[in-house]
Amino acid sequence: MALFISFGLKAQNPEDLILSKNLYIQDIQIKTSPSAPLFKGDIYIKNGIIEKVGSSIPVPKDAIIIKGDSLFAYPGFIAVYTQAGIPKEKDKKQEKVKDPDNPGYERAGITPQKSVDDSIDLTDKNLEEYRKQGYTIAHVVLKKGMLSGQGSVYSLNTSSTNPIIKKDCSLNGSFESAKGRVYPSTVIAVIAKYKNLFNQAAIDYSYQEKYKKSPVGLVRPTTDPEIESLFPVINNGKAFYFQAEKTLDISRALQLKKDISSISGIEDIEMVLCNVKQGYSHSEKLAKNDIAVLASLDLPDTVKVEKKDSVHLKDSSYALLLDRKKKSIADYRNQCKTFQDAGVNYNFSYIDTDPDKIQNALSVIHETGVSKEVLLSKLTLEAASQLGIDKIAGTIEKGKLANLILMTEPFMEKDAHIKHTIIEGHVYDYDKKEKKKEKSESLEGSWSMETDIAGSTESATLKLKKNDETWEGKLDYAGETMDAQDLKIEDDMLSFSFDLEVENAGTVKAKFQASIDKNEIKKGELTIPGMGKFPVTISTKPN
Amino acid sequence: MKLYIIYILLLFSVFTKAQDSDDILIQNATLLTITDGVKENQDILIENGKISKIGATLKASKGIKVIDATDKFVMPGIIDAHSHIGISAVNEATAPVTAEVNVGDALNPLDISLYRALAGGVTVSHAMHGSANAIGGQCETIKHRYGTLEPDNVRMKDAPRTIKFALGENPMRVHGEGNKIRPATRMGIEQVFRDAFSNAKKYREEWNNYTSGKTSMPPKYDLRMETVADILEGKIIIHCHSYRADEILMLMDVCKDFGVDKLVFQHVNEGFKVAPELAKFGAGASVFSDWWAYKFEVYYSTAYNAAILTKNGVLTSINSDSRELIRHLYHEAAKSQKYGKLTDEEALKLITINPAKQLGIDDRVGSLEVGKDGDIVIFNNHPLSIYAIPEMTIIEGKIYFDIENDSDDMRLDVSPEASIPTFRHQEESEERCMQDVYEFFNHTNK
Repeated sequence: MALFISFGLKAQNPEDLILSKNLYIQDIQIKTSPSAPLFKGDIYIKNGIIEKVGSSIPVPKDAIIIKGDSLFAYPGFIAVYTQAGIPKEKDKKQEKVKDPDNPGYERAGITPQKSVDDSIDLTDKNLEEYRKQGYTIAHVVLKKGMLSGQGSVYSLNTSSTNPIIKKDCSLNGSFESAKGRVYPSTVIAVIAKYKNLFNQAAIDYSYQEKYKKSPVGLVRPTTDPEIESLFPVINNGKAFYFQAEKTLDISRALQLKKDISSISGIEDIEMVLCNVKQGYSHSEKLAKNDIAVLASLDLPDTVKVEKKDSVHLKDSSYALLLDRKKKSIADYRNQCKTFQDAGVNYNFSYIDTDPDKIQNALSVIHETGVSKEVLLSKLTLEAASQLGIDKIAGTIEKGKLANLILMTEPFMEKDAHIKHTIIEGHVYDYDKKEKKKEKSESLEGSWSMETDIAGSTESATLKLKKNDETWEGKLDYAGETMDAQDLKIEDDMLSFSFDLEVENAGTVKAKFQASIDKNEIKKGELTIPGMGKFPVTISTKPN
Repeated sequence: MKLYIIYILLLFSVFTKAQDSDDILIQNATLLTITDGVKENQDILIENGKISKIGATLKASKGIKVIDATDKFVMPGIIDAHSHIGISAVNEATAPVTAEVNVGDALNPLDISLYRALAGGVTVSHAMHGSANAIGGQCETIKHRYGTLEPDNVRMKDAPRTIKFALGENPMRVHGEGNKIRPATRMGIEQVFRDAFSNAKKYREEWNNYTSGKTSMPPKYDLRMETVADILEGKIIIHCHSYRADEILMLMDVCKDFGVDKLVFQHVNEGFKVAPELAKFGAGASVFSDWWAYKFEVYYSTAYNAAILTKNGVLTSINSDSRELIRHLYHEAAKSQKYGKLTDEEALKLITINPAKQLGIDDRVGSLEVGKDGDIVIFNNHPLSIYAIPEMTIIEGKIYFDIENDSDDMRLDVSPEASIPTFRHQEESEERCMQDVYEFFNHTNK
């Protein structure tokens, strides 16, 4: 007997699915790979792997059925280069270093041995946003420094006990100089440092091999872990993902690749240029040398000529300058099309684009002339190839991971949005209508807050309720319930005032103000006339 | 069949010509050859980027570009031996010795100053590291081939390696005052050199022992020591920022002790005091025409410096160290005629063959001679005249500046975020040699 559950429930808690680990998506339009045509069929998923995909698959006895009619199934998207899940580091005050020439590896930003696994927070909201946009797998890299560390490929399946698909599979670097007055503080020193590090790596590797062959009479090799982490790159096993945004960065990165590759003992290293924005003038060279490029999705906006500028347009030199600016913007926006035409092996970099802006960026790229099929391929099969996981991901095929997106319209059609993202058989539900309801309601409920006044901790509870369009608030404090007066709730701000009895001062009107972020009340501030301002921490999300 | 072969040959000739060189014939000008006197009403023919013929009424192949330079003056492209244009970084001011860094790793062909220098008749400049460190970074000799996005295209290929040294107040302020490390005094600076040279010598010996098999474990690799060792082996020309006579003598002594003889002093404002010593050592001097008193160590100076050095047999050049001054180096050279009565040829040598020799590129540029690069400038008047205006600047036969074809907006790269300027923005104020360093003094903790 087939188990029949309609997915109106929020399937965020894995415990909800104890009924069955298997899924049967019935009667759905399927695009198995970017070049395959859409066809109506069924998909049977067993233990997170695609067991069968085709038309008229008999309904299995042990699977939960998802009704697929009016939906479209695509292979789950793969983000080739992102920093989602890496917490934002607070700008610490830099300690003054005794010897600025030798600040130590960490301070210089040279930590190639660091693994992203030690920093990533897989519960980060940002990763949820990626899932919402259909991303099932992501190659995550670290943020800071000239050599920030090793990146890993993660499954965005929250219920997995082993989310790492490929551990420490990339070396990540950039031309970022050390912060504060320490070496290397300029790009020329960074480049010199790279040459030094890689020369040392070649020498140490060769000596280690020599020692392995015959250790007799030789001093035992000692290698810094930072240098040792470069070995896989110089042996052409691991790719060097290098950030190079503008035209000079790209030229310098390619020159660095050449310089490192010409060191005695090093073969031609593999370099992937990341977050490229101005690569269009390098297209021929990049295509000829088969250099993989990850284009930034942070595209400049087109120029909006405002009324106040129209006066300037009468000046012919202003008009000429404006034309040049427009051409530059067009060049940046057309980058992917230029790559496409030149045969450059490109994909996308997500590090300076918020997940909810991805679709816009892809639309712009499509408008410049890149076909939807190519874009779909970039997000799926080509991304899987770039990360070396095309054997298990990138298409909807028997044996591959059950990573799919169920959309309400075909890919990139108007009004298309994702209803479900399925990662290794685990279903994430993104029903749009429900989401809307959630948005306006989630501020409702009881918020408990705490503040420190004159040494004693005071707590209160704010109860918010929405009656149609108006908000109603009540404050529970010191055993009494009072009205939240002049309650104002805007997109990013909440404020109200209330009567407060103050010793030796009578009743005053205290004012409370807090910021709202994504339907959560963040830290607030209480102003008591005659006493001052006090920060308030809000601790409970309402249920 | 013949036609087929001719077609292939033609195609081949088009492709064998390097992108950056061209053919051009300049007719009927006054040629200031620098090394072979002044030739009036003569032609100069450049083929494949090289000067192939100099003479009267030259014949050239059909289709070649011809410039009628009647009543004009032609001289070799001006060479600036001290400049900081065309590079993205100037000072790695975090250590007193940073020989391993190389400004040539960060060339910036998009710098509009390159075009403006062309408009001042300058075809080659010595892009230098700054003067924050006793031993600074390596420099790059560049050709102002403005119009390319590729950094490599402005490099003057196979020009001799050069490196920046600095004496005096700058390194003392940056390291001694700034970080409380050596050098804090001029004696400290001397020791920085001596220690660096000694350590590099030791480093080279250790590596030689390893490669020859005497030792079995390789020493640690150190690009800094590699570079200083190369200086000791005569592979790199030292260009040293200096002002005071005592420190100039000091560096010559240090070099003598370590067997280094490839040395050119820069600024060398008190050079006139030690001109005979400079000449005896064989050190060159690259000076300002008349810029001094901006620091205490630059107080005792004279506008006669260039002339005195020249008359005492020192290889002397006049430089700009400024993206503004580079635009009228011909006027700077002319000042040596007022202050020192240098002849026309002596004055023009200060900005052509002499800096070429100081940079080790005099076999290729610096004079109008058959076989040298076709780098020339066409002036409306004699370059040493106050009425001189450069009208055309040519590098290896290709026109890079033409006053008749000078667009208002010569930018190569326009940022999509740039605000459209409606006013002129004055940038340069402080000494260029200390660029990138002043922010270290203004911010306590970044």
